Formats: sequence, C-alpha cells, structure tokens
Amino acid sequence: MNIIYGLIFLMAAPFAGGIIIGMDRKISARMQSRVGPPILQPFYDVLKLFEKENIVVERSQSFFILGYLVMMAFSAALFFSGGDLLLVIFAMTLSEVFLVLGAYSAHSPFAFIGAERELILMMAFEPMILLTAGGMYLATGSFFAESIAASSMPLILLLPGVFLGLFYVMTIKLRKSPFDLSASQHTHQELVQGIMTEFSGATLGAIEIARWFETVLMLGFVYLFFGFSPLLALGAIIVLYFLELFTDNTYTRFKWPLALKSSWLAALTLGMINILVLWVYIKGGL
Amino acid sequence: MEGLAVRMPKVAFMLLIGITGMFLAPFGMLISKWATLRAFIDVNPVLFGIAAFGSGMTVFFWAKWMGKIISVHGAKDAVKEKTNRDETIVLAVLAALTIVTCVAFPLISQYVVEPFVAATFGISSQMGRGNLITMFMMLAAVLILPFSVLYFRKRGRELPAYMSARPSQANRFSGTAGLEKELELNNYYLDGMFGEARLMKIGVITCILLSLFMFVFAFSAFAGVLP
Repeated sequence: MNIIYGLIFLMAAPFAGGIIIGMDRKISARMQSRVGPPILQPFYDVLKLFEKENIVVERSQSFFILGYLVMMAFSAALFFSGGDLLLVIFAMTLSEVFLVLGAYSAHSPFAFIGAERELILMMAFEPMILLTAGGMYLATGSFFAESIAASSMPLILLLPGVFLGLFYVMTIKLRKSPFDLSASQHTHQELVQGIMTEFSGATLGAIEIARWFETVLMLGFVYLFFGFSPLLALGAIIVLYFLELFTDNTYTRFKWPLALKSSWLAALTLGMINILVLWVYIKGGL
Repeated sequence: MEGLAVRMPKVAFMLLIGITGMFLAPFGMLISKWATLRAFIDVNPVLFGIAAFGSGMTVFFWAKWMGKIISVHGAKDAVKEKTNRDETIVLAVLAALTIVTCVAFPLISQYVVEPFVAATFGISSQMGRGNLITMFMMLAAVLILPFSVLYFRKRGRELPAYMSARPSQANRFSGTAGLEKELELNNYYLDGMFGEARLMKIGVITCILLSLFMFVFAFSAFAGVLP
C-alpha cells in the first residue's frame, strides 16, 4: 500500500471526476441534439451550490451526507493507494448506506422511495463487484489493487465474463439509464430527483463531489482488467464509458424487479461461470 | 418501527448500536464478510459466490431497518417509555459491550482468539496489519461522525419535505377541492422474491434432504460400510 498515492489521488480525483462528468454531459447533450453545457459545468454547479442557503428537512441529513462523502473519498483513496479490494468494496457500501440513511431521515415521500430503490440497486450491484474481486484474486493470487495492477497477466483474457458482468452492473453505479431508478443524472432533467429530493445547497454539492470520486473509483476497477498495458486500459475506459452513455440515451428505465433480477442473472451467469472455469483451470494445474 | 426514535429514543439508540455492530465495521465487515470471503475463495468459489450474494442481501435488510428507525415525522412528543427496567438494563449492557468489543477487537483477536485457534487446530493465521489499520480508520470514521451532529444542529433552516409542489402542512398532501391526505410510507418486503411462501418450501425440502444425507453418511461411516 502506498499512502502517498492515496493522498495525491484525494487531491486529483475530484478534478478528474468533475471533468469526466462534464464531458459526459456534453456528449450526452450531443446525442440528444443539444449543444450542452461547457465541460467545466460540474465545477460551476458545485461552486454555486456551496454559495446557497442551507435548507434542510431534518438537521441530521447533512451529517449523513458528510459521512457519505468522507467514506466514498476514503474508499477511492484506499483503492488508489493499492489497498485490499474487499475493504474498498465494504467502504463503498458503507458510504452508500450513509447516503441512504440521509435520504430516509428526511421522511419525504420522494426521498423515501429513492432510498428504498437505492438499497435495491445496492443489493443488485454488490454480488457482481465481490465476484470481480474474487475473480481477480483467483487470477493473480492477491486481493490488493496494487499487486493486481502490477500483475503482467492479461486479466481481461482470463476474466472476460466477469468483465462483462461488471460492465452490466456498473451502469447502476454510474447512475445511468436503464438503472437510474433512485435518481437520474442531469441529462434526463428530472424535476424531482428521487433520493436527492430533499438535499440542497452545500449538502447537494457534497453529494456531487462524492459522485466524482465514485466515478473515478469505478473506472479504476476497469483499469485493473488491463493492468498489463496502461494505454490499452485508457482506451478500454473511454470505449466503455462511451457505451454507458450510449445505453443511457437509448434505453428506458427498468422497473426494480427487472433491474435486480437481470443484475443477479449477470452475476450468476457471466461472473460465476467465468470464476468456476478459471478455478477448474487453476486446480487442474493447466 | 417507524417513529421509534421519537417515541422511545433510548431503545432506538441502543437498537441502532446493535444494528451497526451487526453489519458495519468491524464485525459485519471484517469478521463476517472479509474473513469468510477470504477463506472461501481458496477452498471453493461456489461458497464465495453464495457469500457474495448473501452480502448484498444483508446490506439491504439492515440498512432498510436502520432507515425505518431514523425516519421520523409528525408526533414529536415522546411517549413515556414503558420498557421494563430489567429489559432496559440488559439492552444497555449489550449496547455498551458491543462498543467495547468493537474498539478492543484487535486485542481480543490477538490475545484470545488466535491462541485458542492455534491451540485447537495447530495453526492460526493473522489478519494483515495494513488491513487492521484500514479497518480501524473506518471504525474511527463511524465513531467520530456522530459528534459532527453537534456542529450541524445549529445550521440550516428547517422546511417541510417536498409534497408534490403544493404547499401544505408537514407530511400531508393537499389535493383538489381542499382534500388532504396523510402521508404514509411503507417498506418494500420483496415478497415475490424472498417471501416466506416461496422460501419455506424450498428451505424445508433442502433441510430434510441434507439432514437425511448427513445421517446416512454418518451411520454408514460408523458401521464401516464406507472407508
């Protein structure tokens, strides 16, 4: 583990994440035949949000959102300092739990439904991301992001199923349609934004920053599959993100049972079968 | 469960400590999840897969429960707690012990659990030092956060929740012709997927089969049929 990397990451990630989201909004706008906001729009948004008056339904809300931001930053920093993938995933889950509790505490009809749906999405997401960590362990013999990234093994060839499964559920974490049940992105222009309904001002800004961290963390997971060739990894990340945007703008939203069942099916078939094949392959000493 | 935080704040607080102990750092994460996942992956990925799916479900279950407890509205007057004194004492002791074990967990692991495991099975393995530190940082974050409530308590203007754009009293929808509707919130129970009716039959049949298998196996081994 390299703590210095983690610290550098904490400084750089919000900028990287903000720019990624900015380009995301621009490209999405072009897909919808709009001009779209400037690339730096997410930063303008957040700076403005921090100027706004703090209005709350329940004062404990802001506290939960602070927890969300801190844990999300911690989880991402842990990943980029080369930490244990399982702990990264748990820290990420913990941060999400804070967000959900923040929405619950407002006792608002829209935030409540958003929180419940967010929990269902978490349940849909969790098996696949854990299977990803498991598959990477089987292939490289380590749960540490550091050793996995440094491994010369072409993980994408050993874990193609896991990669596809992760690609499928990653749509949940990037809050893209068809899985944007709990709250959608800017591009879909919702009036009442599900789980975010009762957050405003600096609190909403903090959620936005946490989303930047989350996006960078998710793309970091993609990087691990291509650790043997950083250039290829960068290409893969760009292609994959573009595909996510494409899905986002072409699919209608799923209902929650379909979202849950299809994510679990992806984890069960793509993820699990890949891992079993790899395991037999390793056990067989081939 | 809803409004418990207002009606029985002490019980709700202790319940929250219990839930946190069950599924957050360090027990729910380091011991029940990290250690099992870590152990299963070396032996059998199928078990790892089962644990991975189970992990998602526990998060859903516990977080939903926690949310229900902290989600508060309307009647802000605390009713007089009618909890039995004995029950309160037991709950308080359990809550205190949960906190103590969480904080003292590395010591307990090193001086109690590991020697015992080593004495019983001949070998014992340690949690990585880096992981313990990471875990401790997470625990510290969870423990420190409640204090920030003191800071946030004075900040921000309180307004009622959004009720479909029409101003109304807190937690009431205002409809046409002066009609008002009280807000009611219910949980998802996912009966169609994990409902009792669905799981009961499968569970009972699996249990019977497994028990039978176990007995047949044990008796045949005992009778010397099997090597």
